Amino acid sequence: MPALLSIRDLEISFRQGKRLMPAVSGVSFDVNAGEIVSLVGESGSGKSVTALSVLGLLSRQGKVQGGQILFDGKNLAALSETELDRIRGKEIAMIFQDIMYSLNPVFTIGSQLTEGMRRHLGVSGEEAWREGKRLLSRTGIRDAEQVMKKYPHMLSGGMRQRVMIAMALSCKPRLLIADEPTTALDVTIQYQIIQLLKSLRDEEGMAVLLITHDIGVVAEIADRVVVMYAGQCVEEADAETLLSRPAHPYTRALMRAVPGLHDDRSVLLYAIPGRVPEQYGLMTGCRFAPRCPWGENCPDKEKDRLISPAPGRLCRCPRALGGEDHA
Amino acid sequence: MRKKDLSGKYGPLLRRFVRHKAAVVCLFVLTALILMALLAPWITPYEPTKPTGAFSQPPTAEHILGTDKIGRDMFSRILYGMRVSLLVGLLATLISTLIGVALGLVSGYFGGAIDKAIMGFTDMVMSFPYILLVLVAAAIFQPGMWSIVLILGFVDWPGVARLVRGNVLSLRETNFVKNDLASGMPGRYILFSEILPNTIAPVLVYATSVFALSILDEAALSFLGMGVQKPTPSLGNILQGAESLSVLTDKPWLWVPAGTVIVLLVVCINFVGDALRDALDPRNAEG
Repeated sequence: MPALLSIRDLEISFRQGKRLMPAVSGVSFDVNAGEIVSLVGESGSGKSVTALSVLGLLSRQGKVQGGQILFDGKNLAALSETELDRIRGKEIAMIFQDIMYSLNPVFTIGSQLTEGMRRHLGVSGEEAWREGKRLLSRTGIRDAEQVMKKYPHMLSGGMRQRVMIAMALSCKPRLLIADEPTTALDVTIQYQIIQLLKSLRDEEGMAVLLITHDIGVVAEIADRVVVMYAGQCVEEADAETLLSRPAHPYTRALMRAVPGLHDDRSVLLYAIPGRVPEQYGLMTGCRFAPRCPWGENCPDKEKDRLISPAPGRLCRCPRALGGEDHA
Repeated sequence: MRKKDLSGKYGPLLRRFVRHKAAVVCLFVLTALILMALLAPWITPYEPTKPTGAFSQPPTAEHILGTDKIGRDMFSRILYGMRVSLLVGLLATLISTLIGVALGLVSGYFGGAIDKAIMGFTDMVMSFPYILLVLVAAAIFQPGMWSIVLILGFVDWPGVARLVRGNVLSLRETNFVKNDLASGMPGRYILFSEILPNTIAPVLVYATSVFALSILDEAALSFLGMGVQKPTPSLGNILQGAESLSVLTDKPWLWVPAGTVIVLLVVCINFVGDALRDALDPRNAEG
């Protein structure tokens, strides 16, 4: 069965003055129906841009230069705005990171929650209202009827994020893109939202593309993980493999940078030195080399190609794979 | 469904408004003045345009604010004048707000070349010496109530346009608009059903100051003889009597009441506008 969403050799550039700066270079990955795929990477690694391009929501300066975004066999990158509007919200829904202003302050939750259903599914106001209540209860909101009548400022952050999820689910999308859905929430709420996404996947069979920089979240729900660095996919594996045996030095560094509960607190938490290079689109060879612990002396630093050591597993660092094979 | 839900929203709004004591007093004064203007035909003892007493008579029991130099009752003239001034102010504000909102929405939402063109035009209109522009326009067209309404309406919009554009620019970047885009809502819906309702509060507040300004401008123009033409009374052309020095020094009943009414109207409208701004500001929510 072909994948629900299949991104192939995606190239995205942003116009900076007169120049075009590549932001995403040759990214490919699949999301199968009912699967939770996590896109991991630091800020500025191109993961949000990749997600936005799926729905054709890049800002004016951004442009898909090459590659395909196949959803259900259709290339979304080639569709017109009107054609995309039929897919947005209905087939593919998206949740954004920031919960402030994610809801229109002048309308009630109910009217915003039902709008999409009335438009995309053509159901009556009453029916949409009933379904809205059901969705709110489904996301763990008690007294849904009351919440429907409230205004956004009367709700807490966690409640608002639940409402956002309910809105995203209202038209029963086949793919949900969640761009750091838990970043702005405190940990207990984070956990509840993650569990909610998981159970929604289990019950509604919806696929989820989860963008995050939180390895904890990945460990909790992802089936497969795509690690992005500097606009490239540097490693891809199923979540268990990736978490237990990360190969690429960048992935390893990311995991070392996560604080553990039983860490010796007198030892400084590891941080990856430096940051994502700004004009990474112009680099040749390994883009992680300047920050890599193997550093400038790495014999493979001119190599820049994804290698597949095993089915469903990809890595861009030949040295890491060599090391693993010997181990 | 939506209407019914609003009831819960007005309670706190009213509470925040009432906190401004001066504004509450002003609201009462304003309501009283407007009622007097509306009910002028029933309240006034005399025709405003016909001589009914002695010339330039100081206030008496029959003419509580005296009579003007051709014997018309000043009280009646002021009430009728208030009607005209309020009407001019209201219509001019409506016109300029409509133009400003429309241009501001288009400019802010579409951006690019359209935005540049509209904002360039706005700056151009704004950089004209205002009173001169109005005077020239009034001189070209027949002076009169309707031309004053149109002139003020077509000159006062740049402020509104800029305000709305700024608002739209920031609203366009909010997540609920991104969310609409991501849910396949058409641009028409986003512009009119999501962005526009969010600009109503600031526009309403701004409109009160435009309203006050329009009343002042009408008074200024009519005072200079370019506005509402006699014998139709307006607060501005009643003040015209004060052009002569003898009236100014010896016959205060001919100009003090009309001037006071203008001051009262403008001050009250501004105070109410201020309180409205605080009441509508979401940052003052939960108060």
